[in-house]
Amino acid sequence: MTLRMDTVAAELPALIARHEETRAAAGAAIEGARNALRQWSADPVAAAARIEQALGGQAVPYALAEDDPAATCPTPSLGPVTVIGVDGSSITPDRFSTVRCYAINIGHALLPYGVPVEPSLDAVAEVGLDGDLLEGSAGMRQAPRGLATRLLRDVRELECGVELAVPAAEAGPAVLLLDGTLLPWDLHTRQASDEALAPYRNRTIEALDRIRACGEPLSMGAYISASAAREVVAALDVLAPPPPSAPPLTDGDVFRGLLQPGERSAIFHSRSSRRGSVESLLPGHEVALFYLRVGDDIARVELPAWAATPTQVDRLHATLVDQCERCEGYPRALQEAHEQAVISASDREQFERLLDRLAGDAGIRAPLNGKQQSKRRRSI
Amino acid sequence: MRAFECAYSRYTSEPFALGQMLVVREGRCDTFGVVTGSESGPDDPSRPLVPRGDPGQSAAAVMADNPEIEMLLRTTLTVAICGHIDREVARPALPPMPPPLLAEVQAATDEEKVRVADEGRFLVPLLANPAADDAVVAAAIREVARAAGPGERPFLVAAGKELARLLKAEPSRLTSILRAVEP
Repeated sequence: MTLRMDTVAAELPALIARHEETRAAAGAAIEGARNALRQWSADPVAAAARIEQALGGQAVPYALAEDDPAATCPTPSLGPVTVIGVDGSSITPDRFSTVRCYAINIGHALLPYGVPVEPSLDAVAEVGLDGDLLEGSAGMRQAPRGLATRLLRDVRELECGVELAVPAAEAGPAVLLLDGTLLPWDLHTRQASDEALAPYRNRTIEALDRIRACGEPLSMGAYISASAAREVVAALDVLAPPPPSAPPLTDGDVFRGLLQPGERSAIFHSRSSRRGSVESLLPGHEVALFYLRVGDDIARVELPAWAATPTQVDRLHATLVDQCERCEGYPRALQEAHEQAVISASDREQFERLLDRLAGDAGIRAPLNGKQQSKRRRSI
Repeated sequence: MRAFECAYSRYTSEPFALGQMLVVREGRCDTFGVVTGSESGPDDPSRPLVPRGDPGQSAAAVMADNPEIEMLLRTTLTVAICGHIDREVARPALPPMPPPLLAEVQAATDEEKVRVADEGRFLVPLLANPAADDAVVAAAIREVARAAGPGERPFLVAAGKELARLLKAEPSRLTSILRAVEP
């Protein structure tokens, strides 16, 4: 039996009604947050001081504006540019598998617009044993399954982006786009030892250093569609504390009414006093961010603070708007990179069967456990 | 055995022409065929091609402005087999074996076209193939005639006679092909 549609269908109208009630309550909270933003905008220095004083020692992440926090910037003009999108997909080592191994598939799209560069859509796959992820340390053994694979995938995405973006930036202006957060958030996990995480951290730093060395010809941005982040909201809550009954807002809720399609917000800088936060692990590579309105979507765009020069930000902003226009609201280069990277359900099944067969050919036959055997047979 | 499909690695706006003679130089013998159809579309059928570009913009300009498109499309051809060359002997007949899968398909040389066409006898396997409609047959005759150079006229006469023999029960089809062959 699959999902009981008759049961869930009966409950959906009530859920939708409750959602509407929450939305109505959020309206007042959003207005309060926007008033706080106006207050911040009226005296940015004093407001920033208040925010830092309140949240400076706290674990809660927040954001401070580079200048006027309520500023809105129209889409700049876009010149010739090469856009590189990178995305990854992975197969986590399966504890039921005969040979526990992972697979990572990093897809890319390199799309030149008015630049004499050869376009490219491709993916690079790699496999390894579960133990390879440990990098000589047992520290990752306690980490949740999938964390190490995910971390390696994030680092490989960044490295793949560097390999493509550095030569592209030598041929002309270029923009490197990543899907998701700029920095691999799993770097700050407490479920793995520092020793186990160090190789990933070092590779991340090395990749970011290489991008920074390209200078102004290369812009970089990590694109998060419909972000649920609330760092700006955390700062606004200091200036105008919401009533306890107010529903939690996201930064997107605040900027949705402020930004017109194609406009971006001011540049903010992420702040967090949380011990072991990703930013503190990658000194010199602090995260800057802005919000961008694309249709009805408020996307969060993260970039290294050192890549937030006016030229780089304008190119990134204009490129993202253009890319989203080309692909129904999502950057074309990221969409195509995803298409190259995606590991479908049938790919996963094929990989598993191939692994089993080759392991069997090599004389490795692990006894099937009961759950696995039962799921495979599905007998009546 | 009577036909095969082949594909370019990606989209091309200038594939081999309808009626053009192609050759596969691998397998037991060199296999020759005539292009009966050409189709271009998305490699991934779950990703339909949607209209792009502005009014008045040429296809080439749209492609240049969307560099990913060409890489996501593929052009495929269907080819009707019309002859083979086995140990230097050209035969306007089906080969004993189909060409190998994944073998490279190339344009036949003028000399090969004339040899395989064998004064119009290549029309026997071609007309027996339902995919070779009147337009394909006429285009194939024109193609070989051009390749014959100074022998163009004699080839056209020979091919016309062969057509008349093969289509004596289908006068309307004969007329249709002959009209299409005329320059």
